[in-house]
Amino acid sequence: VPVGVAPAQNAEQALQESRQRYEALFGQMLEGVAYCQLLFDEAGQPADWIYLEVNPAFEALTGLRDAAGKRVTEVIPGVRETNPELLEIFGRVAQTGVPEQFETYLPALERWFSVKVYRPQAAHVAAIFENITERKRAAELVQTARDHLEEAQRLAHLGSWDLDLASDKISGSAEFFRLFDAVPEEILRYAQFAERLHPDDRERVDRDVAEALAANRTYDTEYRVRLRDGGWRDINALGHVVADADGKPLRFVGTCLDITEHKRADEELRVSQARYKTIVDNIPQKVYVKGPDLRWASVNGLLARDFGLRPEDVVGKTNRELFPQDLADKYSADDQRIIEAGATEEFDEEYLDQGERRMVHSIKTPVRDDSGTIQGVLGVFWDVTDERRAQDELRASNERLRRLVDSSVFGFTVSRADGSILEANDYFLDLVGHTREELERGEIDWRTITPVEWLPADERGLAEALEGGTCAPYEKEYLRPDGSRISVLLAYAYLSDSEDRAVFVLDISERKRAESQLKRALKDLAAVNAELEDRVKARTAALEAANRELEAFSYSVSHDLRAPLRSVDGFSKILLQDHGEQLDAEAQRVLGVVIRNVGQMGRLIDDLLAFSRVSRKELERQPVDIDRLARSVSEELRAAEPERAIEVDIGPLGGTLGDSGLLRQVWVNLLGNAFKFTRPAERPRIEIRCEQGAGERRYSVTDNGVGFDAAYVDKLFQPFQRLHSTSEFEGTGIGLAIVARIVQRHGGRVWAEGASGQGATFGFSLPTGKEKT
Amino acid sequence: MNTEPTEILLVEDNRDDVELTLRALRTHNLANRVKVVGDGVEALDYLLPAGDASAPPDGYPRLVLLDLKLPRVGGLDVLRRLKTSEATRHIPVVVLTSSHEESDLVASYDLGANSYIVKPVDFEQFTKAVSELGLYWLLLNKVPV
Repeated sequence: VPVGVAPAQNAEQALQESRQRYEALFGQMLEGVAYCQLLFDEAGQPADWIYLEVNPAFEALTGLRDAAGKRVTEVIPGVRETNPELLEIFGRVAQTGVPEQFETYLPALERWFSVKVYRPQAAHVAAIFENITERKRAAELVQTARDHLEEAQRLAHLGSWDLDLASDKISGSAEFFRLFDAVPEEILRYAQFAERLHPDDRERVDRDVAEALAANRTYDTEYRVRLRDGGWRDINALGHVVADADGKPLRFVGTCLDITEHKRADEELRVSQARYKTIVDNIPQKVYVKGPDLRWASVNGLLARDFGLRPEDVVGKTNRELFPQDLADKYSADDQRIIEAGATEEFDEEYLDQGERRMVHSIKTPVRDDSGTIQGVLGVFWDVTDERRAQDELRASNERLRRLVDSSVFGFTVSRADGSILEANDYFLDLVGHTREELERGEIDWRTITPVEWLPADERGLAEALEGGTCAPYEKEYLRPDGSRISVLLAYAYLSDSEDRAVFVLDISERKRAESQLKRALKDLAAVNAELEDRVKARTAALEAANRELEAFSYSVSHDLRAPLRSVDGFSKILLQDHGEQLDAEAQRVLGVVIRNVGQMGRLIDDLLAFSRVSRKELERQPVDIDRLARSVSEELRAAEPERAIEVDIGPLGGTLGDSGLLRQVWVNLLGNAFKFTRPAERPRIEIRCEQGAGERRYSVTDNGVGFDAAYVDKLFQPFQRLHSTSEFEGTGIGLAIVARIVQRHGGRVWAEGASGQGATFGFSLPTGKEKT
Repeated sequence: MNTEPTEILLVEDNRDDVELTLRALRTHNLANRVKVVGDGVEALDYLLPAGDASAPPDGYPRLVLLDLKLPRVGGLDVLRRLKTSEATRHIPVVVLTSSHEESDLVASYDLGANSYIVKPVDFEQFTKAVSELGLYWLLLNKVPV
């Protein structure tokens, strides 16, 4: 308490004056003053105090009346619990005498106080205090506002910063440092800030800052900030320059916004859009979007190609610009309707694809913005021309099948193994003699209308169909209501994935009747055949017997006829040899005639046998070099008459198919004749040729011999027919007959041309190609 | 000329042919030791008197002239027996026949005939053929002993 120094006239008066001044001061002070005596408990700890004296400001500031002379625990009940620091501090000051100052809030009074405590005397304290509740409230408001700002910055990921240009000192909000993943001490200067940027961004940010400062311009940039975990955070920084009145930049202030999420979202959107674009560009359907004005807004590449344009060039076009009027107007009407009705539609429509009208299936759906307002039409369509054509064809095919089933060509039913008939055409109903009404009432059971003896056939058919889906057609009979039977041929197939069978029934009654007639006829025929066969057998047997007889005869001729001849010849000659001298000339001549005729007869027999052999011998067909055969025979004949100079000219004759031995005989006989009949010729010449004819080869032997009288050409090839006398040319007349027989057996023919004295040509043919007998 | 006694068995039923044949053989002095039999049975009885057991009383002939058409047992059967019997299979057998039949010719050779001669109707030719074959088979041909 300040005490003025006054001249002391007397101590009493001085004291009196001092007390008055003191009381005036005490009473008029704005601060509250309380003079208190501390009370201690047994342990010496401050337990309470008594207000010895309080000034009027005390009452005004605390609202407590008549506190003087009362204990604080009386004046403010519960204060020991709510403000234990008061007793602690008052006790400490009372004991130590060291003044203390503090601020405290008394909940009971709902007031803040700034308190100074002194010790005027032992165990007493004087507390001088101010009510600072208003100040405290204002500070609290500021703090709250600051907290809100910080919270807002934190929530918004928005930090604020301030660069003092003169001192190069950075200050920032808590969020600013959080965004930089740093404590304030780590970013004090610009260089420390710049260090934390992505190396690729640093130069650009430096440049942006410099430009903003130089031009006093708003600063707006993006950069990446390195985080402690090595990751990066995307920041959008905004700033502006604060200058003094002269325009000199003082500070650079601004904000940092975390845009990592935006970036990620942007990227996701970009990827998603790219994905969508990829899909749209690659799906086999054509896709477009038209705006509310029906102008084209977007198309995929596939669709743009139809117009011969790039997708971006289609944008903005109208239907009429892209399509013939009839199509364009139809499309516009559809688009308009969908925009107005707001409903998706799906239909087939015509489309012009590279100048060709095609059928497409089209889906059009309204496009809405976020508010649900229709902003246009999204369309997807694809070519269904072939599909529709196939469907049409299937329909037509089904229709044809239906007509076939309905036609009166065969009976048709759909039935089940249990006997029920689900469907039947009229033809079937007529066949079995029932009405459609009976069918519809379920009164026709195919087992009932089948004679019992035919049921096993049905069983077999069913088993077969169960195995392989279908059964081979089989015959059976149906029983008609009038008791008559009808023969049918039927076959069936299981309809896919069901126990229903499609049954086809063919009326074969007529055929059956015809068959039985045919059977009778065949039976008759068989009888006739058997008889014929018997006859043929008999004839064959007779023929075989005749053949055997002929063979026996030939053998006899060969053996038995020759033996007596030999005897006649032999003994005639013995007679001549042994007894010639006893015979006169006439007898010898006669004997000579006998001997000559025996010789002739021997030759005749030999030739007859040869002819017979040629006829009977089995033909052995094999490839024959007929050319070589002719040359070899010719050489043999020439060797037999070495003294004769005969010119033999053999053209290429090739090969053929036949009996080598017999064909050799042909050459022997023909060439033998030629050699023989050219004996009188001055310069004998024989020419052998072959020429190809239709289906045959013709061989000829031409000589310049005596020839023959053409009038008798028919007789040439008959056995034992001679056109020359034996005395002129030896022989029996069998040679050409043998030739003819051999050639005939080969399927060929013989001929002869010539005239007396002008040579002759003998020819024969052999068939070529397919072997014939 | 070789004068060593020879043995020919002539199997022939035609007496005229026998005479002609012997005459032919005689021209070359080959007829001296000819034994003639008239049919197949006789021929086999002579050559194989008791099966294969013993030789003929006059010894085995050095040549058999065999006609095919014989009474009782035919020439081909005789040939088969001779050529399948160990004792006689080396004896040359010449078929001397009137038959021109290919089947006879083939059958004869199949059965092992050494030669097949068709008797010519002409006497000179016949004589020539018989005498030549006699000369060949008796004088020139060698057989294992």
